[in-house]
Amino acid sequence: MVTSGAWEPQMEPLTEWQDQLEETTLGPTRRTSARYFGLVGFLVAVLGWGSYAYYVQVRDGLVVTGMRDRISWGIYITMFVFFIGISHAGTLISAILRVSNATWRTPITRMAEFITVVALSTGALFVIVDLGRPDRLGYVLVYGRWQSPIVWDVTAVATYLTASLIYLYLPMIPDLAFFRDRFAPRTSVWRHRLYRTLALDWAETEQQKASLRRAIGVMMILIIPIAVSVHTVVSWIFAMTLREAWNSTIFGFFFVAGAIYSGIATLIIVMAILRKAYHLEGYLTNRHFLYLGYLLAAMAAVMIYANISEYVTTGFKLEEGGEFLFRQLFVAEFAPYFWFYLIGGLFLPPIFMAVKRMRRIGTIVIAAVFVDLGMWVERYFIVVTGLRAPLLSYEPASYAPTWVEWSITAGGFALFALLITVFVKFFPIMAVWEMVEERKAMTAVLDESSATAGERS
Amino acid sequence: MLITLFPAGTAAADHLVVDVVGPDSAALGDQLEIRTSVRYFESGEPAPDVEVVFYSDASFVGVSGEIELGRVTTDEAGVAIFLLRPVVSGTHAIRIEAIAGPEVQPESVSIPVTVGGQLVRSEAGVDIPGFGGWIVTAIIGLVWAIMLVAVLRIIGVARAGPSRRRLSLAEGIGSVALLLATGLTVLLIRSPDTHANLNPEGYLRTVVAYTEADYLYPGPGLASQVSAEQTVAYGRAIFMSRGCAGCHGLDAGGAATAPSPAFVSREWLGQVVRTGLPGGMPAYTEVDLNEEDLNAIFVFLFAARATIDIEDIRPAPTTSTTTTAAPGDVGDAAPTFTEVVAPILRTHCAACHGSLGGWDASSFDAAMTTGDHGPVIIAGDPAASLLVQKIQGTQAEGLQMPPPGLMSERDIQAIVDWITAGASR
Repeated sequence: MVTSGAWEPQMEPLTEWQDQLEETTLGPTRRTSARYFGLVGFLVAVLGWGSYAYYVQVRDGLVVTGMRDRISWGIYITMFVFFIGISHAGTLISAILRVSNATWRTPITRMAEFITVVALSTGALFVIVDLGRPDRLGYVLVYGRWQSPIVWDVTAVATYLTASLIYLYLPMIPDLAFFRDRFAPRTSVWRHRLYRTLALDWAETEQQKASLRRAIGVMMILIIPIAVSVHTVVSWIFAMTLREAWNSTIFGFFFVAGAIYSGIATLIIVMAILRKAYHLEGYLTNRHFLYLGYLLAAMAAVMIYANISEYVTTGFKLEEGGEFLFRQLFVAEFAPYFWFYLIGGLFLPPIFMAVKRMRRIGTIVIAAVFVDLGMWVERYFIVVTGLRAPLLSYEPASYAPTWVEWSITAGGFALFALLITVFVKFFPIMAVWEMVEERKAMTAVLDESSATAGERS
Repeated sequence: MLITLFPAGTAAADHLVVDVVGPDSAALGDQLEIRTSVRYFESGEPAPDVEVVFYSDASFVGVSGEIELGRVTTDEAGVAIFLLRPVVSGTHAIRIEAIAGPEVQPESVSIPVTVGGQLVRSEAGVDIPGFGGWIVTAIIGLVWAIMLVAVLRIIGVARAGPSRRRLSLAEGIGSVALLLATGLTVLLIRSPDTHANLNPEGYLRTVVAYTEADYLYPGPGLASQVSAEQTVAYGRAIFMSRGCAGCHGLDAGGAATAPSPAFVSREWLGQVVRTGLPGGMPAYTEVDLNEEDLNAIFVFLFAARATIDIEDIRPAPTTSTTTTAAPGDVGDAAPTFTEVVAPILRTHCAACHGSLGGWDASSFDAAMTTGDHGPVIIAGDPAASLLVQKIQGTQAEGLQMPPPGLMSERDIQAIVDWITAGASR
């Protein structure tokens, strides 16, 4: 039963290259270092602390947070928007590159797709964390009305999460089969059962390949509009609220662009860490980081332009409310955040990419870290400044996250990292079969053109 | 409203009679139809071809006067209809003048039209014909259907496997996805609570701002939700803006100039505000403070009671020494006016009763004999004494005196006992 669907490449025997790739992909699941346990332990501890903070919040109510009647959204909603943004990594890198048949994508699609699922789950969780009465979560379905943007949000995120799971799973089927076969004789029963179940009896028959290809073809196109809709709807939560800072027609576009931007950055960071930890240097090459860096720079330009569009249109008119908003953003309370975002988050990364000497993995990763920090800060001040600008002639309210909020936020980041850490332990972190197919296609082209098959080695 | 103007005592042949029919009140944005019918006074015949001019009071940058709204000529039935769409709220005095040639003397009548209105009336969202929740449902349904196609392909993968297992994980995933999709759709279109139609019958979004004429403007763009707090705030605003707070304190707790009005009844409030009181309480007319304002003030005062201790504002019981002595020697010595009642009357009544006419509480003789309806104290019969009825609030006419709560039970009882015992000097 185990060997019944052994995955045998039919065109040629396992080459050295493929052997090596498979070994590398299997690597993380075989060796578990003390450092790994240390990391998991640390993340579990942070997550546990965050859970305790959440317990405190549920026990005592939202009063333990810094959120009050006038600034009723804070760091939780920041996390929600930030993580939903991160989730665009999978869509852009995987779906768009797959649709456009960019061949260099193959080693990184799996990570991107997984980041999507994990980030989406983490982000959605923070909406629940933001609820004072999480037990009433079901009301959004029972009493939900289409008039409410919250219902759009729930619908869009639920759809995106489902689509992302399917889209993560589909291209993984052949690799799961590969794991199933490789682990067949010498692994624990539950692990074997896991792979066997998930691999769906995959034997690489023509019929199966056709089915898989069609399913991937449907999903890779469908997921792009879904992803765009999700972050557009997230932006509408703001843009449809009567607040000066959120009165923007480009908010949907602005959020989607920011989401893709931070998604690429997160992908770069995760790639760099996994590359280092599991010696993927042979597959995640300079080229991949460079291309992602270029994408990052391009998106930075889009973001800079979106910011100009956003602030110049408002600043040109500078109505009363806008004046207050600009003051707190540009020169007063939020100025440090704003300028960090603008300089560190938007201008620095493309400058890194513009200087030829700096186009190295190290600097690209640093740029990505700046992007993520900048985008987190941007989400924060979009949420808080918008609520802070008074609608009536009150003194502006103030907001500062409490230890509970910081703890839960740390727990959120820990959850995100933990899920990725655990994932690499059990699932193929690279799309082996796609890389092999890619390699074969490349070899075939080379064979034809040079008449010598000596490329391989 | 129908106003007919009959000219008095002049040569009838020279006059026109103008009847006007127009709405008493209207809302901003309504088209008002002002229908005039003109006839000759003497013959009663309708007056055709009479030019009817419509005027309205107006003021602009400090200049007040009348503006001509328009002219309409009467038809054969002597009827002229003028259509008016008022753009400001308030009372519009519309004067109508009928002119029929030089030999017929013009006549004019006026009608007031009160225009109330909403500055902003926001209907339910944007009404795009054919667009509704169903389209959202359809799009989401389509997306989920496409996802289902992909999931069915996964089932296809499992089915095509060598072992041809019938029930696989994929089928499980497929069922769950199908369940989710249908569940989501059904939940969202299921009930009136979760209706998918954007425009159910009678659904209106919150009215953004609603102002009647002479209504304190509540501020721009805020939903005017009438809640107890807001009425209290509104009452407080009137209390402050009309000068009440100047004497009675910002929180109606009383001040050196005037006592707290917090515990008065609504009737009392209405009475005292209209008539004023000696000692400085001015009288307010209906124009200064209408009944709605008084309602609001009363709501504010009522709410203020929570913050005021009635013991702080009530004069201290004045008969303490006597009443503590009383239980010991019941029947021995009947309470006397001088000892027991006079201090109470001085504290609670004499400020007005003695200087304003009517009952005079300043001395025993006066208290026993004066009164608009005859003596208020009938010795030995407290129930029949108007004084007792008034202080207990059982009077058939007028108001309880003093305002309920201000005279302590002990003082009231002391007066009752005094009358029961014969109302001795």
